[in-house]
Amino acid sequence: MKRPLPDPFSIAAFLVILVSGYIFYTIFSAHRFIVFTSEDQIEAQIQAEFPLLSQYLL
Amino acid sequence: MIDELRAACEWGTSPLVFFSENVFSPLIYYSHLTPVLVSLILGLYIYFANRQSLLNRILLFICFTLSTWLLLDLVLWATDSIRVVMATWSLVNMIEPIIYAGFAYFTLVFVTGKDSGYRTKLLLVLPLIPTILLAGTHWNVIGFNLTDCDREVIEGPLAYYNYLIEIGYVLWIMLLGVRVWADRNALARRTSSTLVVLSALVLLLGFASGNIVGSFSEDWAIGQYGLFVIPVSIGALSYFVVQAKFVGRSQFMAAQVLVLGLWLAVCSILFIQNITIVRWIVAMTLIFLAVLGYILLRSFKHEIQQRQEIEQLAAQLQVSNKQQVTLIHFITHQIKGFVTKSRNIFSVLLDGDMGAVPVTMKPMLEEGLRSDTKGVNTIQEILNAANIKSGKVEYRKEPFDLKALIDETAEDLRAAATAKGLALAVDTGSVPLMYPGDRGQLVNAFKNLIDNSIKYTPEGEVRVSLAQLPGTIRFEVADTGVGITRADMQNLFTEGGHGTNSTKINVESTGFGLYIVKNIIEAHGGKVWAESEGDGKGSRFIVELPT
Repeated sequence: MKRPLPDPFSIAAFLVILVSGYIFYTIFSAHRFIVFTSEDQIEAQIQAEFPLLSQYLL
Repeated sequence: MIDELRAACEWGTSPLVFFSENVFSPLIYYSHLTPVLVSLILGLYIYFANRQSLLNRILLFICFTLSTWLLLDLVLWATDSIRVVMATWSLVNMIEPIIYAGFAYFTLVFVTGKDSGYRTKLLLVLPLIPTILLAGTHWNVIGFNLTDCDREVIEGPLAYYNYLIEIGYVLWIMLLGVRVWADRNALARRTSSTLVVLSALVLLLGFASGNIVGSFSEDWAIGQYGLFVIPVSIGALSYFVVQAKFVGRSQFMAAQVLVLGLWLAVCSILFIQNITIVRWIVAMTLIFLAVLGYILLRSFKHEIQQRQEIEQLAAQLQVSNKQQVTLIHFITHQIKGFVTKSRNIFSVLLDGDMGAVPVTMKPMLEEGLRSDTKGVNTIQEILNAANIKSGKVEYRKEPFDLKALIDETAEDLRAAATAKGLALAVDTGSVPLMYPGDRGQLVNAFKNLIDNSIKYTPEGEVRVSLAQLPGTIRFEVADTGVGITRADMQNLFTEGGHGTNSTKINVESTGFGLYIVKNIIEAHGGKVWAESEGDGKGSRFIVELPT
């Protein structure tokens, strides 16, 4: 018997829960986030991470 | 450095997550908590009214997701914690496109009236995958901006991608609206589908108003007013969902929410307007709206109750009608059996199969046979009409010579015409007219028409004609009989429809004859009608069959 394909909505819901947990972990437990204290820092960070998109993000 | 900058901003603390002095106006609470309350109550109510309905489940999902977004947004307005802003902003960006996708799915299911296929579901979900998977990365939120005191984050490219897919979902809903008007099969649900599409679009527009207005005007407070359309639109959507599968109480609940939503929207003016006279006018409007809303809801409730009662009675009537028809059919069938048996006995006796019949007894037996034959024919007519009505009649269409059929039928009835002293003229042409139809049923129809003419013509003549015209075969039977009044003409081909004087002339008339004729002719794609200049001026019955 052919196994039914997984429901796309259920997969999306599962991912949302997983990613939400990851967000809370990185911010509250691992404290992995940047706090920009100057405009230069923001510019440098965007240039470093998204050089192609920097002109749109700045 | 961070602590110094943070201290310089003088943010108020928010020990209760949602409540702090950072929220600059009570309007923010009003614009956020009202839709949360309304949509959660309504979503849960609709869901528990019918848990099996897919639309109800999607609506609950939308209400839940929308409420989560609104509460998280309220947290963003209130909080002074950098961590909370970072986490909440990331979640808000992830949830927002999901709400749009939810509305796209909801409108699709409503408009089509069924669940979508696997591919369509994939098409709805796939654009969300990057949004979800990258929500915890710098593609979504790069970092917290402490260069000003706005408690904002620096967003990554994903935020622009989210805007794009949100526009995509809005276009999807718009296309569904166009489809509703293009699809001829969706005629019955056109109005409700259009209103659902419009309600969804208005809600999303109100929902997005914060971003749209804020981006253009840099005034992020004005956009909050858009959130007031959420309770109204959710109320409208719930109304259409319960209307699609009628649940009286839920429908009333949806109407209540609509009125409440409008009332709350007007009430919001009190929070933003400080001019006393305007406040007074608003207060008066609210009182007026409350009274009007009460009257409206009361009459609506009354109408729903009446509708439910009528529907209940109609259902009972239908059941009782069905039972009655079955009983009549059974009785008629039984009686037909008895009368047929009696007729056969008369027939056997008259044929002399049981020995010679005394001359004195013969007229009695003949009268018995005649009477039983009429009885069987009458019962058969009633049974035929019942079968036609219940759709049990099957038409077996095969080519046959229609000219020969009319000639034979007329010849069979010639004796009856002659006995009344009527002239029966038959003009069916000289060439055979081949026609693909149910011969047995058509014999009944034409025999009925000619027989009627003979019965309702006291003196004069009956003329039968058949002719091949371009694209049609035309049969006509004309007489010099009693004619048909204008009033009788309207009931002529209806079930049990008698003319004013018909029962005086033809006491055995069941009133089903012409009803049967009409059904047989229409089953062949043809039409039948009568013409008469009035009472005593003869009549003409015309049948046209397409070739």
